[in-house]
Amino acid sequence: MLKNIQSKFKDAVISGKEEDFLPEIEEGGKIGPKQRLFIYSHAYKARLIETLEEDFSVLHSLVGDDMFNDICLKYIDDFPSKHPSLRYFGQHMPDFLKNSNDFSNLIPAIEMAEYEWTFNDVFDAVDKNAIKFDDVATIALDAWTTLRFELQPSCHIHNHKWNTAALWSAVTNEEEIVPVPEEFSENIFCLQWKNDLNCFFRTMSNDEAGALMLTRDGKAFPDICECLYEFHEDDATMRAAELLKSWVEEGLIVELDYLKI
Amino acid sequence: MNNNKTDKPFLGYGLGLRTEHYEEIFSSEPPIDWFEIISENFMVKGGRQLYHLDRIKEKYPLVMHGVSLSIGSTDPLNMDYLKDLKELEKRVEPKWISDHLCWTTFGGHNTHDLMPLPYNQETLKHVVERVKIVQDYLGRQILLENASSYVTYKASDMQEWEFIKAIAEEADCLMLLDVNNIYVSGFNHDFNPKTYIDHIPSERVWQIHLADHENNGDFIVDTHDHPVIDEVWALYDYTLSKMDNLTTMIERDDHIPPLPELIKEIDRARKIGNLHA
Repeated sequence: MLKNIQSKFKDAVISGKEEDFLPEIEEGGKIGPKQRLFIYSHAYKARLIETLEEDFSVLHSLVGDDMFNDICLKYIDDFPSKHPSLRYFGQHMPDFLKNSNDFSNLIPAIEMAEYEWTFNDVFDAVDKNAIKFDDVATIALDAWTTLRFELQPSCHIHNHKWNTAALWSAVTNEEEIVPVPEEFSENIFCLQWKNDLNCFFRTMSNDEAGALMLTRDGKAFPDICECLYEFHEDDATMRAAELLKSWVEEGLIVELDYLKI
Repeated sequence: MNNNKTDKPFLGYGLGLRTEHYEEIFSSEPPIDWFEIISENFMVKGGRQLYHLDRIKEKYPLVMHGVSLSIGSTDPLNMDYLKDLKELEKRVEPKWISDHLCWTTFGGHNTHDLMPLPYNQETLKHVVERVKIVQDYLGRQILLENASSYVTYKASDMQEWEFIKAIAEEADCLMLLDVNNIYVSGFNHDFNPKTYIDHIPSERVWQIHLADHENNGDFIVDTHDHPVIDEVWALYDYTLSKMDNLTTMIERDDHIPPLPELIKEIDRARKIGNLHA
Protein backbone atom coordinates (compact mmCIF):
# COMPACT_ATOMS: atom_id res chain seq x y z
CA MET A 1 0.00 0.00 0.00
CA LEU A 2 2.69 2.53 1.05
CA LYS A 3 4.87 1.62 -1.92
CA ASN A 4 1.91 1.96 -4.25
CA ILE A 5 1.02 5.40 -2.93
CA GLN A 6 4.60 6.64 -3.19
CA SER A 7 4.88 5.29 -6.72
CA LYS A 8 1.70 7.08 -7.83
CA PHE A 9 2.63 10.31 -6.04
CA LYS A 10 6.12 10.29 -7.59
CA ASP A 11 4.66 9.70 -11.06
CA ALA A 12 2.20 12.53 -10.54
CA VAL A 13 4.87 14.99 -9.42
CA ILE A 14 7.77 13.99 -11.68
CA SER A 15 5.98 12.74 -14.79
CA GLY A 16 2.67 14.60 -14.55
CA LYS A 17 0.63 11.34 -14.46
CA GLU A 18 -2.01 12.63 -12.08
CA GLU A 19 -5.03 10.40 -12.74
CA ASP A 20 -3.84 7.40 -10.68
CA PHE A 21 -2.82 9.46 -7.68
CA LEU A 22 -5.71 11.92 -7.35
CA PRO A 23 -8.15 9.29 -5.96
CA GLU A 24 -5.68 8.67 -3.09
CA ILE A 25 -6.22 12.20 -1.75
CA GLU A 26 -8.94 12.88 0.79
CA GLU A 27 -11.44 15.41 -0.46
CA GLY A 28 -12.77 18.25 1.65
CA GLY A 29 -11.34 21.50 2.90
CA LYS A 30 -11.03 24.76 1.04
CA ILE A 31 -9.16 23.31 -1.96
CA GLY A 32 -9.60 20.12 -3.95
CA PRO A 33 -7.17 17.22 -4.56
CA LYS A 34 -5.99 18.64 -7.90
CA GLN A 35 -4.92 21.93 -6.34
CA ARG A 36 -3.30 20.13 -3.42
CA LEU A 37 -1.28 17.99 -5.81
CA PHE A 38 -0.37 21.08 -7.84
CA ILE A 39 1.42 22.56 -4.79
CA TYR A 40 3.86 19.62 -4.92
CA SER A 41 4.29 19.37 -8.69
CA HIS A 42 4.76 23.12 -9.06
CA ALA A 43 7.32 23.21 -6.22
CA TYR A 44 9.21 20.27 -7.79
CA LYS A 45 9.80 22.01 -11.11
CA ALA A 46 10.34 25.46 -9.57
CA ARG A 47 13.00 24.11 -7.21
CA LEU A 48 14.91 22.29 -9.95
CA ILE A 49 14.74 25.23 -12.37
CA GLU A 50 16.03 27.53 -9.62
CA THR A 51 18.94 25.13 -9.05
CA LEU A 52 19.82 25.10 -12.76
CA GLU A 53 19.57 28.90 -12.89
CA GLU A 54 22.11 29.14 -10.09
CA ASP A 55 24.48 26.60 -11.62
CA PHE A 56 24.23 27.82 -15.22
CA SER A 57 23.67 31.56 -14.94
CA VAL A 58 26.05 32.40 -17.82
CA LEU A 59 24.53 29.74 -20.08
CA HIS A 60 21.17 31.34 -19.22
CA SER A 61 22.33 34.78 -20.32
CA LEU A 62 23.90 33.28 -23.45
CA VAL A 63 20.74 31.56 -24.74
CA GLY A 64 18.09 33.89 -23.27
CA ASP A 65 15.10 33.25 -20.99
CA ASP A 66 12.88 31.29 -23.38
CA MET A 67 15.47 28.83 -24.61
CA PHE A 68 16.93 28.40 -21.12
CA ASN A 69 13.48 27.58 -19.81
CA ASP A 70 13.05 25.01 -22.63
CA ILE A 71 16.44 23.52 -21.80
CA CYS A 72 15.53 23.29 -18.09
CA LEU A 73 12.15 21.66 -18.65
CA LYS A 74 13.55 19.05 -21.06
CA TYR A 75 16.55 18.41 -18.81
CA ILE A 76 14.26 17.90 -15.78
CA ASP A 77 12.27 15.31 -17.79
CA ASP A 78 15.34 13.51 -19.15
CA PHE A 79 17.48 13.57 -16.01
CA PRO A 80 15.27 13.42 -12.90
CA SER A 81 17.41 13.94 -9.81
CA LYS A 82 18.93 10.79 -8.35
CA HIS A 83 21.24 12.37 -5.81
CA PRO A 84 20.30 13.36 -2.26
CA SER A 85 21.85 16.79 -2.81
CA LEU A 86 20.68 19.36 -5.36
CA ARG A 87 24.35 20.26 -5.73
CA TYR A 88 24.70 17.42 -8.26
CA PHE A 89 21.42 17.85 -10.15
CA GLY A 90 22.98 19.75 -13.07
CA GLN A 91 25.90 17.38 -13.57
CA HIS A 92 24.51 15.87 -16.81
CA MET A 93 23.74 19.21 -18.49
CA PRO A 94 26.75 19.24 -20.89
CA ASP A 95 25.98 15.67 -22.05
CA PHE A 96 22.27 16.45 -22.28
CA LEU A 97 22.96 19.41 -24.58
CA LYS A 98 25.45 17.44 -26.69
CA ASN A 99 23.01 14.58 -27.25
CA SER A 100 19.79 16.53 -27.57
CA ASN A 101 18.22 16.92 -31.02
CA ASP A 102 17.02 20.38 -30.04
CA PHE A 103 20.19 21.82 -28.58
CA SER A 104 23.20 19.90 -29.95
CA ASN A 105 23.84 22.65 -32.53
CA LEU A 106 24.42 25.18 -29.72
CA ILE A 107 28.17 24.53 -29.59
CA PRO A 108 29.05 27.66 -27.55
CA ALA A 109 26.28 26.78 -25.08
CA ILE A 110 27.60 23.25 -24.66
CA GLU A 111 31.10 24.55 -23.96
CA MET A 112 29.69 27.07 -21.50
CA ALA A 113 27.65 24.45 -19.66
CA GLU A 114 30.76 22.31 -19.26
CA TYR A 115 32.84 25.28 -18.16
CA GLU A 116 30.28 26.51 -15.62
CA TRP A 117 29.72 23.05 -14.20
CA THR A 118 33.47 22.53 -13.80
CA PHE A 119 33.59 25.57 -11.52
CA ASN A 120 31.26 23.72 -9.14
CA ASP A 121 33.68 20.81 -9.06
CA VAL A 122 36.68 23.11 -8.65
CA PHE A 123 34.96 24.94 -5.79
CA ASP A 124 34.14 21.76 -3.85
CA ALA A 125 37.32 19.80 -4.65
CA VAL A 126 39.65 18.54 -1.92
CA ASP A 127 41.84 21.35 -0.58
CA LYS A 128 45.57 20.67 -0.60
CA ASN A 129 48.44 22.94 0.30
CA ALA A 130 50.57 23.92 -2.68
CA ILE A 131 54.34 23.35 -2.59
CA LYS A 132 56.78 26.28 -2.36
CA PHE A 133 59.84 27.20 -4.42
CA ASP A 134 62.10 25.94 -1.65
CA ASP A 135 60.62 22.45 -1.98
CA VAL A 136 61.76 22.35 -5.61
CA ALA A 137 65.10 24.03 -4.97
CA THR A 138 66.18 21.34 -2.51
CA ILE A 139 65.73 18.44 -4.94
CA ALA A 140 69.08 16.81 -5.75
CA LEU A 141 70.14 17.13 -9.39
CA ASP A 142 70.07 13.35 -9.97
CA ALA A 143 66.51 13.10 -8.71
CA TRP A 144 65.12 15.28 -11.53
CA THR A 145 65.23 12.28 -13.87
CA THR A 146 62.49 10.59 -11.81
CA LEU A 147 60.63 13.71 -10.65
CA ARG A 148 56.85 13.70 -10.96
CA PHE A 149 54.41 16.39 -9.87
CA GLU A 150 50.96 16.00 -8.33
CA LEU A 151 48.55 18.73 -9.40
CA GLN A 152 45.75 20.25 -7.33
CA PRO A 153 42.77 17.83 -7.30
CA SER A 154 40.71 20.79 -8.56
CA CYS A 155 42.79 21.18 -11.75
CA HIS A 156 40.73 20.86 -14.97
CA ILE A 157 41.92 21.36 -18.56
CA HIS A 158 39.51 22.27 -21.36
CA ASN A 159 39.95 22.54 -25.10
CA HIS A 160 37.70 25.34 -26.35
CA LYS A 161 36.49 26.16 -29.86
CA TRP A 162 34.81 29.34 -28.64
CA ASN A 163 35.70 32.36 -26.50
CA THR A 164 33.96 30.68 -23.56
CA ALA A 165 36.32 31.87 -20.80
CA ALA A 166 36.10 35.51 -21.94
CA LEU A 167 32.29 35.32 -22.16
CA TRP A 168 32.04 33.72 -18.72
CA SER A 169 34.29 36.34 -17.22
CA ALA A 170 32.40 39.29 -18.77
CA VAL A 171 28.96 38.02 -17.68
CA THR A 172 30.08 36.95 -14.19
CA ASN A 173 31.82 40.27 -13.54
CA GLU A 174 28.80 42.14 -14.93
CA GLU A 175 31.01 44.00 -17.38
CA GLU A 176 29.33 46.70 -19.45
CA ILE A 177 30.43 45.17 -22.74
CA VAL A 178 29.93 41.44 -23.11
CA PRO A 179 31.65 39.96 -26.17
CA VAL A 180 29.58 38.01 -28.67
CA PRO A 181 30.26 34.26 -28.96
CA GLU A 182 33.19 33.92 -31.34
CA GLU A 183 34.69 30.80 -32.86
CA PHE A 184 38.49 30.58 -32.73
CA SER A 185 40.38 29.73 -35.92
CA GLU A 186 42.32 27.24 -33.77
CA ASN A 187 41.13 25.60 -30.54
CA ILE A 188 42.48 27.08 -27.34
CA PHE A 189 43.25 25.39 -24.02
CA CYS A 190 41.80 26.68 -20.77
CA LEU A 191 42.75 25.79 -17.20
CA GLN A 192 40.56 25.94 -14.06
CA TRP A 193 41.85 25.26 -10.56
CA LYS A 194 41.64 26.26 -6.92
CA ASN A 195 44.40 27.24 -4.53
CA ASP A 196 44.04 28.44 -0.96
CA LEU A 197 40.20 28.34 -1.34
CA ASN A 198 40.21 30.70 -4.34
CA CYS A 199 39.13 29.55 -7.83
CA PHE A 200 41.18 30.60 -10.86
CA PHE A 201 41.10 30.20 -14.62
CA ARG A 202 43.28 31.20 -17.56
CA THR A 203 44.02 30.21 -21.12
CA MET A 204 47.16 28.25 -22.02
CA SER A 205 49.43 27.93 -25.02
CA ASN A 206 49.53 24.54 -26.75
CA ASP A 207 53.00 23.66 -25.42
CA GLU A 208 51.97 24.40 -21.83
CA ALA A 209 48.75 22.43 -22.20
CA GLY A 210 50.70 19.44 -23.56
CA ALA A 211 53.18 19.62 -20.69
CA LEU A 212 50.48 20.06 -18.08
CA MET A 213 48.43 17.12 -19.37
CA LEU A 214 51.51 14.88 -19.18
CA THR A 215 52.13 16.16 -15.64
CA ARG A 216 48.53 15.42 -14.69
CA ASP A 217 48.92 11.91 -16.13
CA GLY A 218 51.92 11.23 -13.86
CA LYS A 219 54.73 11.51 -16.42
CA ALA A 220 58.21 12.41 -15.15
CA PHE A 221 60.11 15.63 -15.78
CA PRO A 222 62.19 14.20 -18.69
CA ASP A 223 58.95 13.22 -20.50
CA ILE A 224 57.68 16.76 -20.08
CA CYS A 225 60.94 18.13 -21.52
CA GLU A 226 60.63 15.72 -24.45
CA CYS A 227 57.13 16.98 -25.16
CA LEU A 228 58.36 20.58 -25.07
CA TYR A 229 61.22 19.68 -27.44
CA GLU A 230 58.67 19.49 -30.26
CA PHE A 231 57.87 23.15 -29.68
CA HIS A 232 61.19 24.58 -28.49
CA GLU A 233 63.93 22.14 -29.51
CA ASP A 234 67.15 23.03 -27.59
CA ASP A 235 65.31 25.51 -25.36
CA ALA A 236 62.91 22.83 -24.13
CA THR A 237 64.54 22.44 -20.70
CA MET A 238 64.52 26.17 -20.15
CA ARG A 239 60.82 26.30 -21.13
CA ALA A 240 60.09 23.42 -18.75
CA ALA A 241 61.78 25.32 -15.91
CA GLU A 242 59.81 28.43 -16.79
CA LEU A 243 56.52 26.55 -16.76
CA LEU A 244 57.38 24.79 -13.51
CA LYS A 245 58.12 28.16 -11.91
CA SER A 246 54.74 29.57 -12.95
CA TRP A 247 52.88 26.44 -11.82
CA VAL A 248 54.50 26.68 -8.40
CA GLU A 249 53.69 30.40 -8.23
CA GLU A 250 50.06 29.72 -9.09
CA GLY A 251 49.73 26.98 -6.50
CA LEU A 252 49.04 24.26 -9.05
CA ILE A 253 51.45 21.67 -7.64
CA VAL A 254 50.77 19.96 -4.33
CA GLU A 255 53.24 17.09 -4.20
CA LEU A 256 56.68 16.14 -5.51
CA ASP A 257 57.52 12.51 -6.05
CA TYR A 258 61.03 11.32 -6.89
CA LEU A 259 63.56 8.66 -6.04
CA LYS A 260 65.64 9.76 -3.07
CA ILE A 261 69.09 8.93 -4.39
CA MET B 1 18.73 4.53 24.21
CA ASN B 2 16.13 5.58 26.75
CA ASN B 3 16.10 9.24 27.53
CA ASN B 4 14.32 11.04 30.31
CA LYS B 5 13.50 14.59 31.20
CA THR B 6 16.75 15.27 33.01
CA ASP B 7 18.82 14.15 30.00
CA LYS B 8 17.30 16.76 27.73
CA PRO B 9 19.97 19.34 26.89
CA PHE B 10 19.15 23.01 26.42
CA LEU B 11 21.29 24.92 23.91
CA GLY B 12 19.36 28.19 24.13
CA TYR B 13 18.27 30.22 21.10
CA GLY B 14 19.86 29.64 17.72
CA LEU B 15 19.70 30.28 14.02
CA GLY B 16 19.90 28.29 10.79
CA LEU B 17 23.40 28.95 9.43
CA ARG B 18 23.31 30.60 5.99
CA THR B 19 26.25 31.70 3.82
CA GLU B 20 24.92 35.28 3.67
CA HIS B 21 25.85 35.74 7.35
CA TYR B 22 29.34 34.19 7.46
CA GLU B 23 31.21 37.47 7.26
CA GLU B 24 29.24 39.09 10.07
CA ILE B 25 29.46 36.00 12.24
CA PHE B 26 33.26 36.03 11.95
CA SER B 27 33.65 39.77 12.40
CA SER B 28 31.23 40.39 15.26
CA GLU B 29 30.56 37.02 16.91
CA PRO B 30 26.87 37.88 17.37
CA PRO B 31 24.91 36.87 20.48
CA ILE B 32 23.46 33.68 19.03
CA ASP B 33 23.66 30.62 21.27
CA TRP B 34 24.11 28.00 18.54
CA PHE B 35 23.71 27.28 14.83
CA GLU B 36 21.96 24.59 12.82
CA ILE B 37 23.58 23.52 9.54
CA ILE B 38 21.86 21.86 6.58
CA SER B 39 23.81 18.59 6.44
CA GLU B 40 23.66 18.11 2.66
CA ASN B 41 25.27 21.52 2.03
CA PHE B 42 28.44 20.31 3.72
CA MET B 43 28.69 16.83 2.20
CA VAL B 44 31.50 17.95 -0.10
CA LYS B 45 35.19 17.12 -0.33
CA GLY B 46 36.56 20.60 0.30
CA GLY B 47 36.15 24.30 -0.37
CA ARG B 48 35.00 27.35 1.51
CA GLN B 49 31.86 25.77 2.97
CA LEU B 50 33.90 23.32 5.04
CA TYR B 51 36.53 25.94 5.85
CA HIS B 52 33.89 28.31 7.24
CA LEU B 53 32.16 25.47 9.05
CA ASP B 54 35.36 24.59 10.91
CA ARG B 55 35.78 28.22 11.99
CA ILE B 56 32.19 28.54 13.19
CA LYS B 57 32.50 25.26 15.08
CA GLU B 58 35.32 26.80 17.11
CA LYS B 59 32.95 29.50 18.40
CA TYR B 60 29.46 28.01 18.52
CA PRO B 61 27.70 24.72 19.30
CA LEU B 62 26.28 23.14 16.14
CA VAL B 63 23.47 20.75 15.29
CA MET B 64 22.99 18.97 11.96
CA HIS B 65 19.68 19.09 10.10
CA GLY B 66 19.13 17.00 6.97
CA VAL B 67 16.55 17.02 4.21
CA SER B 68 17.38 13.81 2.33
CA LEU B 69 17.32 10.92 4.80
CA SER B 70 13.98 9.89 3.28
CA ILE B 71 13.11 7.90 6.37
CA GLY B 72 9.60 7.08 5.12
CA SER B 73 10.54 5.96 1.61
CA THR B 74 9.97 2.38 0.51
CA ASP B 75 13.31 2.58 -1.34
CA PRO B 76 16.15 0.89 0.56
CA LEU B 77 17.94 3.23 2.96
CA ASN B 78 20.68 5.08 1.07
CA MET B 79 23.79 3.76 2.83
CA ASP B 80 26.09 6.06 0.82
CA TYR B 81 24.15 8.99 2.16
CA LEU B 82 24.33 7.62 5.71
CA LYS B 83 28.07 7.11 5.33
CA ASP B 84 28.48 10.74 4.24
CA LEU B 85 26.28 11.82 7.14
CA LYS B 86 28.41 9.91 9.60
CA GLU B 87 31.61 11.37 8.15
CA LEU B 88 30.19 14.86 8.46
CA GLU B 89 29.12 14.10 12.01
CA LYS B 90 32.75 13.28 12.89
CA ARG B 91 33.86 16.66 11.56
CA VAL B 92 31.03 18.74 13.03
CA GLU B 93 30.61 16.95 16.39
CA PRO B 94 27.00 18.14 16.50
CA LYS B 95 24.92 18.21 19.65
CA TRP B 96 22.35 16.21 17.69
CA ILE B 97 21.25 15.21 14.19
CA SER B 98 17.77 15.73 12.78
CA ASP B 99 15.81 15.13 9.59
CA HIS B 100 12.14 15.05 8.59
CA LEU B 101 9.33 12.56 9.06
CA CYS B 102 8.56 12.21 5.36
CA TRP B 103 9.79 10.56 2.18
CA THR B 104 11.83 12.26 -0.53
CA THR B 105 12.82 9.45 -2.91
CA PHE B 106 11.01 6.72 -4.80
CA GLY B 107 12.52 4.36 -7.37
CA GLY B 108 15.83 6.16 -6.93
CA HIS B 109 14.33 9.48 -8.02
CA ASN B 110 14.59 12.38 -5.62
CA THR B 111 11.71 14.83 -5.36
CA HIS B 112 13.79 17.20 -3.18
CA ASP B 113 10.60 17.86 -1.27
CA LEU B 114 9.27 16.68 2.08
CA MET B 115 6.55 14.33 0.83
CA PRO B 116 3.86 13.39 3.37
CA LEU B 117 3.24 9.87 4.64
CA PRO B 118 -0.08 8.12 5.13
CA TYR B 119 -0.63 7.81 8.85
CA ASN B 120 -1.47 4.15 9.49
CA GLN B 121 -0.02 0.99 11.05
CA GLU B 122 1.78 -0.11 7.88
CA THR B 123 3.68 3.18 7.62
CA LEU B 124 4.31 3.22 11.36
CA LYS B 125 5.93 -0.21 11.31
CA HIS B 126 7.99 0.66 8.22
CA VAL B 127 9.31 3.96 9.58
CA VAL B 128 10.02 2.59 13.07
CA GLU B 129 12.20 -0.16 11.59
CA ARG B 130 14.15 2.32 9.50
CA VAL B 131 14.65 4.80 12.34
CA LYS B 132 16.09 1.98 14.45
CA ILE B 133 18.52 1.05 11.65
CA VAL B 134 19.63 4.67 11.24
CA GLN B 135 20.07 5.15 14.98
CA ASP B 136 22.08 1.93 15.23
CA TYR B 137 24.27 3.00 12.32
CA LEU B 138 24.88 6.49 13.72
CA GLY B 139 25.15 5.21 17.29
CA ARG B 140 22.84 7.91 18.57
CA GLN B 141 19.21 8.93 18.68
CA ILE B 142 17.99 11.17 15.88
CA LEU B 143 15.38 13.91 15.96
CA LEU B 144 12.53 13.76 13.46
CA GLU B 145 10.75 16.94 12.43
CA ASN B 146 7.08 17.23 11.59
CA ALA B 147 6.84 18.52 8.00
CA SER B 148 4.13 20.79 6.58
CA SER B 149 1.73 18.99 4.31
CA TYR B 150 -0.89 19.82 1.71
CA VAL B 151 -2.59 16.46 1.17
CA THR B 152 -4.35 14.00 3.47
CA TYR B 153 -4.46 10.43 2.24
CA LYS B 154 -7.58 8.31 2.23
CA ALA B 155 -5.24 5.57 3.51
CA SER B 156 -4.58 7.47 6.77
CA ASP B 157 -6.43 6.25 9.84
CA MET B 158 -4.48 8.13 12.49
CA GLN B 159 -4.02 11.83 13.22
CA GLU B 160 -0.56 13.22 12.48
CA TRP B 161 0.12 13.84 16.18
CA GLU B 162 -0.82 10.27 17.05
CA PHE B 163 1.47 9.01 14.32
CA ILE B 164 4.54 11.09 15.19
CA LYS B 165 4.13 10.30 18.90
CA ALA B 166 3.94 6.58 18.12
CA ILE B 167 7.03 6.78 15.89
CA ALA B 168 9.03 8.55 18.62
CA GLU B 169 7.98 6.09 21.30
CA GLU B 170 8.27 2.86 19.32
CA ALA B 171 11.55 3.78 17.60
CA ASP B 172 12.84 5.53 20.73
CA CYS B 173 13.80 8.61 18.77
CA LEU B 174 13.47 12.30 19.56
CA MET B 175 11.51 15.12 17.98
CA LEU B 176 12.17 18.47 16.38
CA LEU B 177 8.86 20.25 16.64
CA ASP B 178 8.31 22.87 13.95
CA VAL B 179 5.64 25.11 15.41
CA ASN B 180 5.11 26.88 12.08
CA ASN B 181 4.57 23.55 10.33
CA ILE B 182 1.90 22.63 12.87
CA TYR B 183 0.22 25.96 12.16
CA VAL B 184 0.49 25.45 8.37
CA SER B 185 -0.83 21.87 8.44
CA GLY B 186 -3.55 22.86 10.93
CA PHE B 187 -4.78 25.46 8.45
CA ASN B 188 -4.47 23.16 5.42
CA HIS B 189 -6.14 20.17 7.09
CA ASP B 190 -8.49 22.04 9.36
CA PHE B 191 -7.29 20.89 12.79
CA ASN B 192 -6.55 22.90 15.92
CA PRO B 193 -2.76 23.29 16.30
CA LYS B 194 -3.12 23.28 20.08
CA THR B 195 -4.64 19.80 19.94
CA TYR B 196 -1.50 18.66 18.10
CA ILE B 197 0.79 20.17 20.74
CA ASP B 198 -1.31 18.77 23.60
CA HIS B 199 -0.60 15.23 22.38
CA ILE B 200 3.18 15.54 21.97
CA PRO B 201 5.28 14.08 24.82
CA SER B 202 7.49 16.89 26.14
CA GLU B 203 10.41 14.60 27.01
CA ARG B 204 10.83 13.64 23.34
CA VAL B 205 11.03 17.21 22.02
CA TRP B 206 14.61 18.48 21.98
CA GLN B 207 14.32 21.30 19.48
CA ILE B 208 11.85 23.84 18.12
CA HIS B 209 11.80 25.49 14.67
CA LEU B 210 10.14 28.86 14.24
CA ALA B 211 9.54 30.10 10.70
CA ASP B 212 7.08 31.77 8.39
CA HIS B 213 4.87 30.77 5.50
CA GLU B 214 2.91 32.15 2.56
CA ASN B 215 -0.82 32.45 3.15
CA ASN B 216 -2.73 32.12 -0.13
CA GLY B 217 -6.15 32.51 1.47
CA ASP B 218 -7.41 29.00 0.86
CA PHE B 219 -4.16 27.26 1.72
CA ILE B 220 -0.77 27.99 3.27
CA VAL B 221 2.62 27.05 1.85
CA ASP B 222 5.62 26.62 4.13
CA THR B 223 8.13 29.07 2.57
CA HIS B 224 10.43 30.29 5.39
CA ASP B 225 10.89 33.64 3.68
CA HIS B 226 9.45 36.22 6.09
CA PRO B 227 9.49 37.00 9.82
CA VAL B 228 7.55 34.69 12.13
CA ILE B 229 3.92 35.86 12.37
CA ASP B 230 2.12 36.66 15.63
CA GLU B 231 -0.10 33.56 15.44
CA VAL B 232 2.99 31.32 15.32
CA TRP B 233 4.59 33.24 18.21
CA ALA B 234 1.40 32.65 20.19
CA LEU B 235 1.58 28.95 19.37
CA TYR B 236 5.21 28.88 20.48
CA ASP B 237 4.16 30.48 23.76
CA TYR B 238 1.49 27.79 24.13
CA THR B 239 4.07 25.06 23.37
CA LEU B 240 6.34 26.40 26.10
CA SER B 241 3.45 26.29 28.54
CA LYS B 242 3.19 22.54 27.87
CA MET B 243 6.83 21.51 27.47
CA ASP B 244 10.11 22.37 29.15
CA ASN B 245 13.73 22.85 28.08
CA LEU B 246 12.99 23.72 24.48
CA THR B 247 16.08 24.62 22.48
CA THR B 248 14.68 27.01 19.87
CA MET B 249 15.75 28.21 16.45
CA ILE B 250 14.69 30.77 13.84
CA GLU B 251 14.66 29.14 10.40
CA ARG B 252 14.91 31.34 7.30
CA ASP B 253 15.61 29.84 3.87
CA ASP B 254 14.73 32.59 1.41
CA HIS B 255 14.78 36.40 1.33
CA ILE B 256 17.54 36.13 3.92
CA PRO B 257 17.63 39.44 5.84
CA PRO B 258 20.67 41.02 7.56
CA LEU B 259 21.66 39.25 10.75
CA PRO B 260 20.37 41.96 13.18
CA GLU B 261 16.81 41.37 11.92
CA LEU B 262 17.05 37.68 12.72
CA ILE B 263 18.69 38.39 16.07
CA LYS B 264 15.59 40.44 16.95
CA GLU B 265 13.49 37.33 16.32
CA ILE B 266 15.90 35.20 18.36
CA ASP B 267 15.61 37.71 21.21
CA ARG B 268 11.82 37.57 20.99
CA ALA B 269 11.97 33.78 21.32
CA ARG B 270 14.37 34.16 24.25
CA LYS B 271 12.03 36.61 25.97
CA ILE B 272 9.09 34.22 25.65
CA GLY B 273 11.30 31.35 26.79
CA ASN B 274 12.45 33.28 29.87
CA LEU B 275 8.83 33.89 30.87
CA HIS B 276 8.37 30.13 31.04
CA ALA B 277 11.72 29.35 32.69
